Amino acid sequence: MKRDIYLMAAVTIFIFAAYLWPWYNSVKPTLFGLPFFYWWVIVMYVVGSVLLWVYASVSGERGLSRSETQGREGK
Amino acid sequence: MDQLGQLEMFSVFVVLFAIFVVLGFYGARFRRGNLNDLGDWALAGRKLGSFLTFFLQGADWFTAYSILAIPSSVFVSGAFGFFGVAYQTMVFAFAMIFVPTLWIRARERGYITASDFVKDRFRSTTLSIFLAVVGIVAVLPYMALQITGLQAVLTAMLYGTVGASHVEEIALIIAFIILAAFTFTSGLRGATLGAVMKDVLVWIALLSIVAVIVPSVGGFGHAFQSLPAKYSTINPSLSLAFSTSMLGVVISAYLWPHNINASLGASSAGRLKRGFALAPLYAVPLALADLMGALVLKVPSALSFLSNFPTSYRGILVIPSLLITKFPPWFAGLALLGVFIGGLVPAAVMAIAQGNLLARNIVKELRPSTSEKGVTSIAKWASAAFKFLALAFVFTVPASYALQFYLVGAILIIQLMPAVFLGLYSDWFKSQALIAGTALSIAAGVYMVLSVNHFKQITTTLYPTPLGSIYIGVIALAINLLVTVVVSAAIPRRKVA
Repeated sequence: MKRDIYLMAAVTIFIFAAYLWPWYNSVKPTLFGLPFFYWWVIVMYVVGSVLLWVYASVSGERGLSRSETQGREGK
Repeated sequence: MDQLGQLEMFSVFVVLFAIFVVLGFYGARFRRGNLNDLGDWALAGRKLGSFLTFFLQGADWFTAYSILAIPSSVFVSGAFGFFGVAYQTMVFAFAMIFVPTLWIRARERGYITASDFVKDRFRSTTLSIFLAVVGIVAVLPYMALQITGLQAVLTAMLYGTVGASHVEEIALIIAFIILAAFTFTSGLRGATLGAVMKDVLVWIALLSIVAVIVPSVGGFGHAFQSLPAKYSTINPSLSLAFSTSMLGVVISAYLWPHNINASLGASSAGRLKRGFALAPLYAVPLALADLMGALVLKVPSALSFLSNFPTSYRGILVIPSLLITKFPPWFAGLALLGVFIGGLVPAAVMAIAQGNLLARNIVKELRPSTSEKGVTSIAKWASAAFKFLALAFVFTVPASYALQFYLVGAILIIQLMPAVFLGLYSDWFKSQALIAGTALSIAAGVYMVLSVNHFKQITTTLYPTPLGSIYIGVIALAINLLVTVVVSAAIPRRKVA
């Protein structure tokens, strides 16, 4: 549970830091002629997908908050 | 393309459309369940495995928006328009945080919609009805985007035939009746089988376009060097606009009723997560295809085809024009059908979700005596009716700016974030505070959109501030959170037994 939260937080922070702010807004370096602005985003789809897969595999069927069967809150 | 070619293209399109329709009706028998039960009709009985979940996620999220509206936006605004596809990895990271958790709650407590969850969590029927209404209305412009996409495909295909404007209208009506019937009889199952076909054809179309067009313009490097600078990078003064527009879409994505619907249809939380993890890969060919909005400027035959249409309509025709002018007719027919059902399947899924909200969270709440069968029947009829209601929104945005349909709808749907996303992790917010925050933020958001567009057709959803332009959805969400927190803090806590 705790480990799931830390892992998800790390993955999320990495992905958002990678491209929420357009710091990659430049032509160079190009890749196959594509400006950095475009190819960085496309490479991140693949990297992000791998990271999310790792989280999915580690956390299995668990959610990120206590579920009803694990202990009710409120009421 | 000559008349014979056009006939060939149209024949392939019609034959494949017939196959699609058969798949939809077959869907009703697929892993047969009790279709008079709302949970079964709308969630495919929670029997969708990893594979079908992946396809349905793809079908739901990668719509006419990604296939037609983003190339259009790149064509009109240059690199800035690329924001509309750039955020995909963030969308699924954000979804991963809360949707599987919601799935687990839903399974335990029998929720079908976000409103079910909100009602149970905050013990307020008023709040759940209010959010259901917001959900239904927010989807209308998004559905209008799909309709604009369907119309664009038919316009491109029928251009030059006698009375083309009439044929286009008739074809649109027929497609809609079939879709309504298709949604009505088969629910999410039918849409899922249609989704598999849609995804396969869209992949073929996108990859082929990239493979053919990129070499024909001398490669990406050659093309971007000779295009104006605005196609290679964004103007730094738009950084905040770029960033907040992406953030707005990221937060809104899995608050859409149909996306929640499709997610809750997964057969396990683990399968749902694996579907989310794979989804960004779907965006790779999509992003490359969206760059055609820039590359098309280097394709003379496509440009001359586009010059037949008014400027405000050219953008949405970028992909169809490349298919028609650079490919053999049979292939253009196949690919255009992919793009067409790429709008049709999501429209069906959206309508199903709206019908659900209306029947379950509004009608059933107000008239609890309605039978289960009655509720399901209302959901089915409403899902057909809403498709026509969305038609009215089509004229509020010029076709080349079609992505604004999404951004307008998202200003509304993003306001569910405090109740649904934050609500999963905390019940500190009071229902009255959530109602006040949502109502005020929607009023402010709608007013801002109308005023920046001078109360005319909508071409922007950015609001100028001293810091730079900011996406209105994000400003409105900030208002919502502020009001919700302040009002929640002001209301005295009642003792919870």
